[in-house]
Amino acid sequence: MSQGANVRSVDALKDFKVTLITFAEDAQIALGSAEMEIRQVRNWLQRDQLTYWQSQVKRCTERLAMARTELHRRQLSKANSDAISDTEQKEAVRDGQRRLREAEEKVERIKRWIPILEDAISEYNSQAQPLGDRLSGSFVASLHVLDRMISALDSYLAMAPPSTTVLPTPGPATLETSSSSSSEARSTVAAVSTTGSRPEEPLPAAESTPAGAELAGKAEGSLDNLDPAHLLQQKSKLRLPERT
Amino acid sequence: MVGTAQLSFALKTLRERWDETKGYWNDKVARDFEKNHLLPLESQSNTAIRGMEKLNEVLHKLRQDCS
Repeated sequence: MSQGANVRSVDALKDFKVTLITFAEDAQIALGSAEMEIRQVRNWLQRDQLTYWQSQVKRCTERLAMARTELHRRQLSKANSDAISDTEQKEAVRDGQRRLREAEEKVERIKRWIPILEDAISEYNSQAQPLGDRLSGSFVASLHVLDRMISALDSYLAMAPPSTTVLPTPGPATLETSSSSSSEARSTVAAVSTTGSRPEEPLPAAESTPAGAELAGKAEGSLDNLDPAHLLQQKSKLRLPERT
Repeated sequence: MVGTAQLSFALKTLRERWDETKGYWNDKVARDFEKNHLLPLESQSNTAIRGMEKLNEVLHKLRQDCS
């Protein structure tokens, strides 16, 4: 059974199209922000942190070598005099060893994190890519659906004659086609407004409703073939049912 | 992660606006549009949000561990 178009406000569709575009923009920005954060963290870890702590390992190694040399020199001096203490030099060696160990552990930790980060990024990409692909691809098709619907409604409104009878009661108009192919199609076409008014408005002109019926018929399938000339041809085939 | 909140908010707004729009557009085309366009978009957005949240947890631990 054929089902009718039920559009109570073309402005609502236009507003939603704007919302959809805004969503796409916001979503693209959100994905872009995530990408930027990923790049920043990757650079911070692999370039800044790794480079820094590797240089710290080198520096600590050199300092430890110097501390050991100083301790060795001190111990040689101490052998000749009991008054000389090597406590400070021993402490410097222990401190150098601790600092070197910390730097080496940091490098190891960073190296362990690099593949973990890459795995997490890959997993994120696999989860975010479908949305990104949609926004840059099939999202256009979503807009086209709205565009076609809006264009069809605008065409319908443009065809409405200026001197029309306004049905007094609000609510949907029920139309019935007389053609055999659509004899069972009872199409419900609600009030359509271009002035931003929403539901519960008076119905459009009686003469304009056949176009609405055509719109309803087209709504079931593709709206691609909905053209005003064809709608005008259909006008003579349609009659208004009794008002309820 | 900044993108998580932004995408979540955008998705919430989209759903609210669509629910409002359904009050004015309620026919088979609208239902098909929701089924074929909006629901996949919402599903993919939610998947992306979950991905961002999970990645954010990893980044948080990483920053703590490697700073």
